[in-house]
Amino acid sequence: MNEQKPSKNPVWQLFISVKFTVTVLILLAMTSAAGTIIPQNGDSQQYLQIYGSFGSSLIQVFDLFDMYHSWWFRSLIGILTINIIICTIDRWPATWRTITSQKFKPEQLLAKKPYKEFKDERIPADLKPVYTSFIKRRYKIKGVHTLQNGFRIYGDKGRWSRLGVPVVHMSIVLILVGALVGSFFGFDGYVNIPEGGSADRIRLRNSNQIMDLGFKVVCKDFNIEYYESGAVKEYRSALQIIKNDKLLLEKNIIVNNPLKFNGIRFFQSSYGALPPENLEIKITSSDSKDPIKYKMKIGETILLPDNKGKFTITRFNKDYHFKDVELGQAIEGELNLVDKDSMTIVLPLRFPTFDKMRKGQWIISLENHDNKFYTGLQVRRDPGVMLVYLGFILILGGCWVIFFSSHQKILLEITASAEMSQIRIFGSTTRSKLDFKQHIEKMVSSLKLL
Amino acid sequence: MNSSLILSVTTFVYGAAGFFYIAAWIFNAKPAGKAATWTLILGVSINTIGLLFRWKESYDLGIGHAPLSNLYESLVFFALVIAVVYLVLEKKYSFKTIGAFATPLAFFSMAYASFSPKIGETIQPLMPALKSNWLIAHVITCFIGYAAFALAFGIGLMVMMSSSSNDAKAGILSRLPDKSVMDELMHKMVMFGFLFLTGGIITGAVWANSAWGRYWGWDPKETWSLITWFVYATLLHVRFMRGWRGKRIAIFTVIGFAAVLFTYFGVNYLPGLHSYGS
Repeated sequence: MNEQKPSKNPVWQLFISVKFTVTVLILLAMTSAAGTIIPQNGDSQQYLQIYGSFGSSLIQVFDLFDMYHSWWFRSLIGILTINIIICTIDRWPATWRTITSQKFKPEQLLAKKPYKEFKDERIPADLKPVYTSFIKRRYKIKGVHTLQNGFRIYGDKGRWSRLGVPVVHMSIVLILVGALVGSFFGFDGYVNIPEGGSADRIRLRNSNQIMDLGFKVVCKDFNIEYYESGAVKEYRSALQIIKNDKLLLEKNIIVNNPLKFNGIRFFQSSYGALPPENLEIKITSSDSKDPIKYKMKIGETILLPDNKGKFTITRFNKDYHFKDVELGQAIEGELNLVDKDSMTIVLPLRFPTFDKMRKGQWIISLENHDNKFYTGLQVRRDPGVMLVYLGFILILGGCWVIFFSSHQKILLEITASAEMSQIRIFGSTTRSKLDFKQHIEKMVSSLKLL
Repeated sequence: MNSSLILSVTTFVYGAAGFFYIAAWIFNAKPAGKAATWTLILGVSINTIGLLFRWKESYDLGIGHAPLSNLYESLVFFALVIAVVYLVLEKKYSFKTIGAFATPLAFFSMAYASFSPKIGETIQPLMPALKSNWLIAHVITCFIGYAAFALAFGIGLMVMMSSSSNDAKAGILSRLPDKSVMDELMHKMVMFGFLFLTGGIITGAVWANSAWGRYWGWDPKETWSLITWFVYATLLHVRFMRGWRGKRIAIFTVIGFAAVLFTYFGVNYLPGLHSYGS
């Protein structure tokens, strides 16, 4: 029992105090909330703009720009973990004793008011076998005492439900250990693979370093499917895993359905257009209305008819702006007319006849181009996930037990009173008294029918 | 007949049920109480039919998915779960005064869904990230949790009302359940909500792991669900370990429900992966 415990050191005392736990929980709640208001992982310019120089330097000092990974936030979680472990250790002996002890002190139940009293027309001796078998079916009988004018029968059930609380607490620790394992032994990276291309290295998100996979990931194909409304229905990459020229695995991945290989998972996370390779250019001269079409690639030059000059495709601009208007991807070229300065020609993919606006002598437009994408893959390995999932199952099981079951003790005292029996029911429960009362009411109505 | 119409009708049925419950409580009128229960059962039936219709309609549109994918659908489902959890509570413990506090919450949720101009009622196709079997498990567990917390909040209001008056059991306050009974029911709802909030966070984590390869990413919605979890965890600890009861726990249920509402609505104003909720 509690009073027999040796005095403990003050640190232990602190960690088992509820005030301490509550303080840590409230601190965690408030700081977590702060992290949803202060933008995370923004750039320093942004913080300077929002919070001024003092505010933004505070943000730098306390790592508030990435606070969920800051030393102090991790320490708070660490303190909570130690708190949970120490509390569980502290309570464990008493919990275990209650679960395993065969002792049952009827006096404890008899000291309280009975839940219910009623009478039966039979005498106690007649009731004894009926009641015993009735209680036996519902409770673990711990004793049947014969009294001068009757008997007592008592038992309990649901002792193991007392494990619910320590299980929930330990599963939180398990989840956090799983997270720790993941952060030490796992990685998180990404790679962009062009359609038809492959990659055997990825870039890690935290360190920005390059990591060798030890095998090749090929993107055979990337596809976007649309609903009739134009909203995206599905992103799909056809992937292959190749090692030493051998095809080991092939899978179409979509969001929510990654490819798994060697404990590494590849997730569909983004995509983008590749610079078009094969272009068809149409050149129209204001002199002759007959346009001429050319097939070109980036870097190539063609000569205009009648030696009037030449046109070169110089580069691909993935984000072209015209007077602050975003026109997106564009092909840029250089038009060199004889006796004139060279000028830059822009052919946005979305507006192929954009060059008409220039109202030049030669108008260049984009007739056709190939449409190739790259697929953006998230590449992750997390060996801690199994521990975390085990923690998930245990915490749900524990909460379920805490909510839906309880350790119930019950004691029936049957005494003779004027050729009849007086029955009094005592009991205790670790959970809802209201439910226990209902339970006893039901039991009484069944007992009356026996 | 379409689902939006059926669900708008549900709003009025819930409104009527709330009216009957309040009338039954204020005027101590048994017939009104009886009418209230039957009206609420009718509301639950129509609400369910409306959701099933909507489910079917989404298949007719060729974009079939469970009606749990946007703010409108979640509010409709929220109303349904509040009403169902309350009816179970009424069946088990038969304290109809709780209905005067619970049913209006279902009504508000339904009314907000049906009449707010900001909330689109059209059935939208699922975006790729939502196409997962976890969607149903995640939304159902979360909203059972939210509904239980809503009821705890309703009972919390009752506890605060009965604690605020000093003149012993006068008028309508005398018809509230016994303080210890309300305290226990409030606690029961908190525990039930906590179980399902935990389940909601876990199903969300497992889903996130299958969609993005991480079970936790401090996305604002994730973070706020955890904050909510911390608030209710604190409540459970002060009750179990410090023996807090009644009014002090009731204040906690109000704070907790505020956190729930922020997790549900407020987060849409913060950037994050759950922004489809808006």
